[in-house]
Amino acid sequence: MADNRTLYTDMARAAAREHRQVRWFELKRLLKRKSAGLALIILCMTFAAALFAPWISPYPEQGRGDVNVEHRLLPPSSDYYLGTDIYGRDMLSRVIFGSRISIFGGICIVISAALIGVPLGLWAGYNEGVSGTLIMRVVELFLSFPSTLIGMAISLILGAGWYTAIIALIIPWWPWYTRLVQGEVVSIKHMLYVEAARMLGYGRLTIIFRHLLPNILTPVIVMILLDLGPAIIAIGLLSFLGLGTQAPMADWGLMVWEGAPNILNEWWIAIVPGTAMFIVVIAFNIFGDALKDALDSST
Amino acid sequence: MILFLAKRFTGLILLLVALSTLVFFFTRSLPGDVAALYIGGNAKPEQIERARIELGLDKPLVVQYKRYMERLIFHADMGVSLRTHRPVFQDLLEKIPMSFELVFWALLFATLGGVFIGVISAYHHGTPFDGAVKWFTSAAVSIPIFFLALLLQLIFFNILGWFPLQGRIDSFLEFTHPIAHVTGFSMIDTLITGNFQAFFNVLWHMVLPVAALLVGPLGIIARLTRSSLLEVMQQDFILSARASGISEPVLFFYYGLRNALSPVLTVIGLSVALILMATFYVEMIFNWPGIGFYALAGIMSLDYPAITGIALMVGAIYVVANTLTDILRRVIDPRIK
Amino acid sequence: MDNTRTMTEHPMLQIKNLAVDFNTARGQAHILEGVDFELFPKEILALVGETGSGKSVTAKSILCLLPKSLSQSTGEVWFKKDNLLTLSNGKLQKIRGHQISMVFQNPQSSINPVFTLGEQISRLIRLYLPDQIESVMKLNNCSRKKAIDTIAEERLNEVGLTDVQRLLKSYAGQVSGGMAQRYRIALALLSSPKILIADEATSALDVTVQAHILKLMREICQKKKTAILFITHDLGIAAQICNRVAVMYSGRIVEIAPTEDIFKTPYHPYTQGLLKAVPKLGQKEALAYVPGMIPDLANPPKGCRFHPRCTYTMDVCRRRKPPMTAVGLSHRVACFLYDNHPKPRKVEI
Repeated sequence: MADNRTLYTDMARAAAREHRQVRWFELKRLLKRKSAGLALIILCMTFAAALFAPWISPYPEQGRGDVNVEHRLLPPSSDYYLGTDIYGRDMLSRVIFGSRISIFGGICIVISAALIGVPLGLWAGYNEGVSGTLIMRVVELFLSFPSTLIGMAISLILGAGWYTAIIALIIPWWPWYTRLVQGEVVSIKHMLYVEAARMLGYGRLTIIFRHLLPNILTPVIVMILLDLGPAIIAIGLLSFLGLGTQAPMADWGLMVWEGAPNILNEWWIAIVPGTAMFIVVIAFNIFGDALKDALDSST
Repeated sequence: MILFLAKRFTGLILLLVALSTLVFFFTRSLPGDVAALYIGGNAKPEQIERARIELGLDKPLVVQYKRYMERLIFHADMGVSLRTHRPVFQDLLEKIPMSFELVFWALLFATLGGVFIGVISAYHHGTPFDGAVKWFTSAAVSIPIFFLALLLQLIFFNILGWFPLQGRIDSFLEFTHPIAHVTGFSMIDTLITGNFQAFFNVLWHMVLPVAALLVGPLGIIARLTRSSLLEVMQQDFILSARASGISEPVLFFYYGLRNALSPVLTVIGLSVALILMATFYVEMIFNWPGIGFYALAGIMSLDYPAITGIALMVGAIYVVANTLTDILRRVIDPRIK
Repeated sequence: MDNTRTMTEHPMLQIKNLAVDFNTARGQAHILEGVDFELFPKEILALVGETGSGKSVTAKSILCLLPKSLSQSTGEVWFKKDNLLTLSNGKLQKIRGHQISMVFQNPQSSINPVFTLGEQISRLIRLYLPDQIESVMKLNNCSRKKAIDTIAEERLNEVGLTDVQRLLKSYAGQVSGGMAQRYRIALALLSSPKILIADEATSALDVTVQAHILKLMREICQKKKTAILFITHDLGIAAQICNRVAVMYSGRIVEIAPTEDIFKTPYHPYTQGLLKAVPKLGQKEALAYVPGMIPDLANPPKGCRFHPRCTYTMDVCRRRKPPMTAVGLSHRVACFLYDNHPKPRKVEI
């Protein structure tokens, strides 16, 4: 769940300690590992499914939400490979359409969080004055409460909807990046090459972006990859509660919620989207892990 | 040490104040008219106006804030639930023991199991067992809690028939062997009243929800213990102890583990919140009448006072748990300043 | 120094043809190849060499402390009729610390930071000296805990530590480097081992502290009859306290001789270069150095590993590894220059 991120911060740090810059040729070696390669294939397929959903799903209208009452609650068959739900919609099409919110929502949350959190972390780490302290106090305040709870509260304020859910998750998410980056910057800013740049009279922004940023990119990239899984789960958690995507749009969390009452008989309605979510999240986690290990052990 | 404790407690109190302030602004920024919601549907304008005055909503924000804090601190007053029409605090007090039982067992097993699995797989690192643990922990942190709960129901009730589907106790036992209300904790109550049939029935019903709650934290704790311990085992002092003729098991379980435990403790503290948030889903799915169920029902029916109360409570538990683990870390690891 | 005496005695520790390979990302690195030397009772033998020459690896492989998953050791390490390299883990544990102790470079980081110094020493006392605990208990008629404390205090006093009671309650982070190293030495000596391996034991310390520790080492050797294998990169230290010196270069011992001999008449071109690189007081000309770099161990030069840096390289040096040749009483060198004439040559590097 969303609070795995303390662990991920530590893991990203560990990777960073070994290597301060991503060496892209290491990635080739990484993909030779079977599990990482498989994870990447799954991710690419999901990505393609999300992108081309209207073209590859068997019943695109049903994927968008059109009902099909005469075929309701059908088990998986050759017409409907993964069965149909209570409104007779094809589960396969629904799952393919549902991947859009999970994949793009997840990426959107993590990237936005990094875009907000990283510059603030760079600033707070480099200037330990009033502004830096202020930023870190806000960060600590956010990190003092469960992110999922903050997300729920904010989406209650903003009202339900898929984009409000994403905004509601970005808000508790960026402080993690700020904390990671601030910690890294504090640990490297007294290194000789930074001191040298300062003595040479480079400006603050030049030092931050030219000398500090490249050196904290590895942990940030590792953390972004490790964060995608939790972000997808967090979206699912909100939409399961009805705080995210609204019916009749397809969303994995929402679909599990819709299928939950029928779990004992028409089990596929809840299990299919749940499994989809599980597989994508585990693929992200394994890929992120393998990347971290590749950066970790290459010495 | 005393200075450290004093600092920690001041921080704790400041955070609790910040929490209640945030929750106050949260209630005021919710969409819709609180007074109208309070009265319920089809209210006349003058009724709403009366409710507004009764709730103090006509006063300036500062006065409202003062009133809210006073009520919260001196009367533990969190308002009246729109759904159950009872004071939220009373509702919470009633529900907490039920959830506590689940959270307690889940946390206990997740901690013991996680640390144990982590140490064993670190000890056997590089073996197939370690590989299996790695896969298991990856799966455990990746599975959405609501999906896991439904999957457990499907497998262990529907297919295998080993455990009951939902609820806290079989409905006929509720009549033949009702649980006496002594402490509110059903396991203690049934034991001290000698109601063993109900005791085992409750135990039986708890297995699946506890399992659903503990898998995630178990995975995280196991994985962190493993990596933290393996990192410690690379250190000079382990080499030096090994050169002193200390056996490998002692090296791992005694010399290494205590060093590795500090980050693990942090995560155990965070797991409290993780499990609490998970109860929202697990109690809903297993129809377990605790705070999670109450919270979820509140969220779904937009019962704002109940949501506020829950947010305050979960936030407070989280903050307190973190403070406690910090103190504990300080006790076992003299390096932490 | 009485070299003839040591040579006639039976060695305490005999290392024959020790080779260690490390598995790295770029393939096998031959860290050690064919290390031969012996350690006699009551002597201090210095193992000298540059960083990366394999001194520490030699020390660690004596006690089989290298991670098995990353390295393979072959050869023989004889200690009391046992080849340590082939011993089971259980038997090794009875030798590690009990018979052969080791002290490492960084004293503070080699003390467990989350236990007090008292907890750690008492654990080892219980492990090594159960009999002595019993006898102290009987003698002083006191509890086990008290007896352990008494022994701990006595042993820490022996290495020159004072205010022991306070020390026993401190953690590694709270003591100075010198105190930490004395404490480590006390731990290493608890069991009255036959051999003490000091792996750069003084390198991380201040010069004055270093002098104290060296003095302590010499006393240990004389009083406790412990043989010391002293690993250092500093020839000056080797000259101060050692009976014999073994010079290592890239995984081999290139020259081994009594200290006086090696400083007066160095044979191997590398040893000569090292000695020239030692600064002398009042020296006017620029400090000499051995040109070139230590070779890449994954892909070492064929033949003698020193030949790319040696000015006396001959054809044979590129083809074959030089064997150890005796050039004097207890003076051996691995260089083809001395194949037929056992006389030192003045070699210009």
